[in-house]
Amino acid sequence: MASSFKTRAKLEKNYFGYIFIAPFFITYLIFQLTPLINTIRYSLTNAKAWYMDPNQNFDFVGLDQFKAVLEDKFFKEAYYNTPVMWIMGFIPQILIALLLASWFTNEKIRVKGQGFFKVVFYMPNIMTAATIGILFLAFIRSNGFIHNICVSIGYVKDERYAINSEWFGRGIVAFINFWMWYGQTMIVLIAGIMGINPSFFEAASIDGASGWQSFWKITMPLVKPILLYSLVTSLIGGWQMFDVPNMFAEGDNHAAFSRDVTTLVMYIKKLAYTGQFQVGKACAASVLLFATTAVCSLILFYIMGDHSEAKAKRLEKKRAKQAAMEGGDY
Amino acid sequence: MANYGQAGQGMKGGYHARILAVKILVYIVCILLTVMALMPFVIMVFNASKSRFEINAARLDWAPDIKNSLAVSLLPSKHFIENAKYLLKDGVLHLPFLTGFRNSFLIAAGATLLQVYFSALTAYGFAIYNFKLNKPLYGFIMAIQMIPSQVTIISFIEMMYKWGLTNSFIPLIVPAIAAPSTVFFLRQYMSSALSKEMVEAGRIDGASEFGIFNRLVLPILMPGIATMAIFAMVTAWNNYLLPSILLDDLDKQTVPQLVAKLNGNKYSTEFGAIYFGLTLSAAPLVVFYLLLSKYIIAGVALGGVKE
Amino acid sequence: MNKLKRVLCGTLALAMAASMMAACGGDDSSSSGSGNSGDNSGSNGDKKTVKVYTFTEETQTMLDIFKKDEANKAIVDKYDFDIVLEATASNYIQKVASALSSDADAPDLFLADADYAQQFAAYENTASLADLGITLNESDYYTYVLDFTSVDGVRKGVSHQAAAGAVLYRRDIAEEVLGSGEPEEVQKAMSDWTKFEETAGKMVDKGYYMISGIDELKRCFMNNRDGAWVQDGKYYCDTATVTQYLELTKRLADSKATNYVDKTQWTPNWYNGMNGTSNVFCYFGCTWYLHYTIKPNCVLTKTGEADKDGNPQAAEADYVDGNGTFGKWGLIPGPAGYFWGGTWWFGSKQAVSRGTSEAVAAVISYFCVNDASMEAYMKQTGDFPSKKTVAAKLTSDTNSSTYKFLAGQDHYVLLKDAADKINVKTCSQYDDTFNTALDDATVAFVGGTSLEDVLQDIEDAAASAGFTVE
Repeated sequence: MASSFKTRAKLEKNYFGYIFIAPFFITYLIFQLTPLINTIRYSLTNAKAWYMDPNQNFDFVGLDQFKAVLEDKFFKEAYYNTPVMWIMGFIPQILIALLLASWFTNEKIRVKGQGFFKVVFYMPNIMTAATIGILFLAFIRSNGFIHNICVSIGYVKDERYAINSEWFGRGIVAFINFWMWYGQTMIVLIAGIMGINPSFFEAASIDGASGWQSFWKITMPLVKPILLYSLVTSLIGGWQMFDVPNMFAEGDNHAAFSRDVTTLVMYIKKLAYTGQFQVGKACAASVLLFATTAVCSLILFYIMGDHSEAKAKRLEKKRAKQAAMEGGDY
Repeated sequence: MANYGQAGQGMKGGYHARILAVKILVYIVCILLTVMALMPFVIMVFNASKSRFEINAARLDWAPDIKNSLAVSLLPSKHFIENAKYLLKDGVLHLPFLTGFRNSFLIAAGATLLQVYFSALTAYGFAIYNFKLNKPLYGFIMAIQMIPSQVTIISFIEMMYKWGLTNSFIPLIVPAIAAPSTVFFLRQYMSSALSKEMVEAGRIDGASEFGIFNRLVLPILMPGIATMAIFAMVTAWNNYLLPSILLDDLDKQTVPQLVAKLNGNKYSTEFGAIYFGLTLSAAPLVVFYLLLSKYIIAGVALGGVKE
Repeated sequence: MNKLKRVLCGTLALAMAASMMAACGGDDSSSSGSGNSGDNSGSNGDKKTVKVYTFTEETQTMLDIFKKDEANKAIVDKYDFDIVLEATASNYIQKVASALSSDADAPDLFLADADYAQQFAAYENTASLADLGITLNESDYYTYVLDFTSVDGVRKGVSHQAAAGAVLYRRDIAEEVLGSGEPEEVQKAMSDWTKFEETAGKMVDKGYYMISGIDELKRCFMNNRDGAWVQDGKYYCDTATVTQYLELTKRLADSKATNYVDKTQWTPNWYNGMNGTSNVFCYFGCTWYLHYTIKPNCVLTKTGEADKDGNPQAAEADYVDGNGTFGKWGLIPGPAGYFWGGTWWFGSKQAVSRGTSEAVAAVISYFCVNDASMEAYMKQTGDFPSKKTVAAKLTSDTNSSTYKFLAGQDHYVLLKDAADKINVKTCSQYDDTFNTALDDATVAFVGGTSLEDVLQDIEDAAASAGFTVE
């Protein structure tokens, strides 16, 4: 009797879940669903940009656009550049962020002025890609500060020559991404670490655990959900990388290595906004990009193993079973 | 405690030396990163004080002496006021920068608050309640953040024109309610910072479901929310593409739009004033960040609340 | 806890205030949007509003001139002009395209740079000049001005400028290297590409650079192909000309005749060649370039900073011999004719249905059709007109800084002929795509990639952009 009452109460409360998530979904349905459906629908057509063809005369072409995208050499290049640049930037980003986060939350080191450092490390993220573009383009252009260094160490033949090495281009994009985002990742991780109950650390300290030990045994496992968040959002952001490399490729004076830093979203944008305004093909490429991101994310989730979820689920099942058994008893 | 003291005594000297070494390393790394992070800002602010000729000249002073070239580009000059005047008053521009700041603030503040509040609400809904569609709907949220916005935005703009929502802040504020990645973060954050027992305790005290969320849960989530608020604010403040297409009226335009106008057209070379505009537009974000960083740092103290 | 709560309440209140204000903003536009399209123009007293979309500040200056002229009083009394400026090209294009498809938000009058003027002309809702009620005598114009924005024989846009290309060179360097700094003699040394290259060799021997960067010759060569990149949706490459361009550029770069082995246009390095900081012999310029780009950038010290108002001629006091390279320049036709840029004016079909086309036509006519007002504007700015009839009347003012900049050469004489030679058969509305592809190809080729490979890259770019490749 008691348990059945409890179950019903729980059911009623659980109904609130729908109310809590409703604003999100209503807003999404109003503002984003049509664009989402259009993206998928157009990927199967030869649609052009709607302003070039206001009456939207397009045909259903099946998977032709996907075929066209997969055969396009520029798609293949972009499909290579994008993850390469992401990984080049992400590895130092997550490592430095973890290091800083563990230092700043370590009671024993007690970094003085850490408030200042946290603020400063995040600052590059405040700037827009356009601003950073103006600065870095000026640096790498002939006579720029980075260019001058390259000349004096002999990386560039002489001062007349532009930096046009593909790996330099990818490297600088990766560097800017790292530089813009490690502070953000650090803050996320600090927020995660600070969400950990301080008594865990106290207990560990009492047990004589070293800073290193408590980091690996307490911080890492508990910060895992946040780490997973950082990984997944960075992965998604990585596959959708656009702002930073685009500033090297757009405009009258784009960098010599612009083609080597072309990412998938840049490729997609080019399809939709220039040439024949091939929105259909752009949407097909978007769907492929989406599929890639989804697969990569699933792999990450699998590797990182969201155990807390699984555990909760198992527990829930157990409870439900118990409740059912009790119900049977009754 | 006593045990700890005994065990620690033997290695006390080495322990302190190690801590000291780590500390030195920490400060070296932090100072290096600080220089790296601040350099563009310094250059930006100093360039804001230069005439366009000085900016050009700085890039010219190239090797043999790199130090010299750096010094030239790093030193401030005296044209700060001139550039400020050009930007705010003189020139053909007559751009309403104060109105621009008001607009940007309204949009950024509105979008940020809606985004963090409703994301927290959504994340909480997923974290605490076991409704039937919990998993699939959460999966849906995870999936939609993987859709590249560069393509869907074409369709979004088309829709806003059809609905007559041009020259309105609604398309720039209201969609922020549905922010998948913020939901994702807060959901993850809750899994370490929030326990169901706490919610149960609230229920036993007779609080309503919304009451529990607003009065009990939100304060606990504050470090996470502050973190997301900063990111949301920065994104909304720096947003350029959508406002530039949807906002025509000069008195509705945002700071990034006005800064972009400094470029006038591609033949313009008023670099000094552009840098000044960039500096000005980044300043509110720095202030906002300094204000919120207190809550992030206060996270430790707040963590204790949940005991 | 309490403090937090207060902060939270405060922020929520702010959010509500913000969204309420946003809602009010929304109300404005939706109420005007829901009315018929005529209402949208909004009424300010009895005046109708003419919405103008532009990418350049110059439009504001021009409309001010229009309003000041007593002859336009009838229009000015009836209409307000509301200018919307968007300087980023890609955003401007998307903005115009989006707005044009909406009855409520479409601009009445909109302008285009040469890069996308053909695309704007192709839009469904771009009105023809005839629809707007603009009549013009076509034979008065340099033919390319009208041809450029014609779609299937329908004239859709018109420009107030003709942007004929011409080469600017340093007289002092010519005198030292070629023996004479006079335009006739220098033109002889650069009358075709073979001689151009020979001269470049002589420049290198004396320690000068022929041109600034590897993108300097692009426009000149591309305007002299035997056909556009895209014809009837099919990709076409004038392989001979493109090859000639790539190979010449590479030889110049390798022989140190270019100041930089990099694209330099619109960069500080480019300007530093103009003011003599590095010794670049010549620039491939054009009409507006003369007074808008090279003259203001040839001086090293500029004192008129405080009263600058966007007008490039503002700092007249600095235009004195000995300041930078001022007074050391000459103008010649160069190895081949070409054009560069220009601003085209369009009206929308919505303007016709709203009844604002009268004002649109009046503005366009004022700058692009009426001889007298066009001539006045050209005299004021030093720009070059789109009408031969106006060009015939113009001579350089011997007191003007442009005249002194060219060491006493009348640039109108030369540009009149140059404008007549412009051929827009080489232009298509897709040139943007190919300019990028060609830039990439140039960089790759100069860097050592084989000719076959870079030509293949251009072809692949065409295929990727959706054109038929055979």
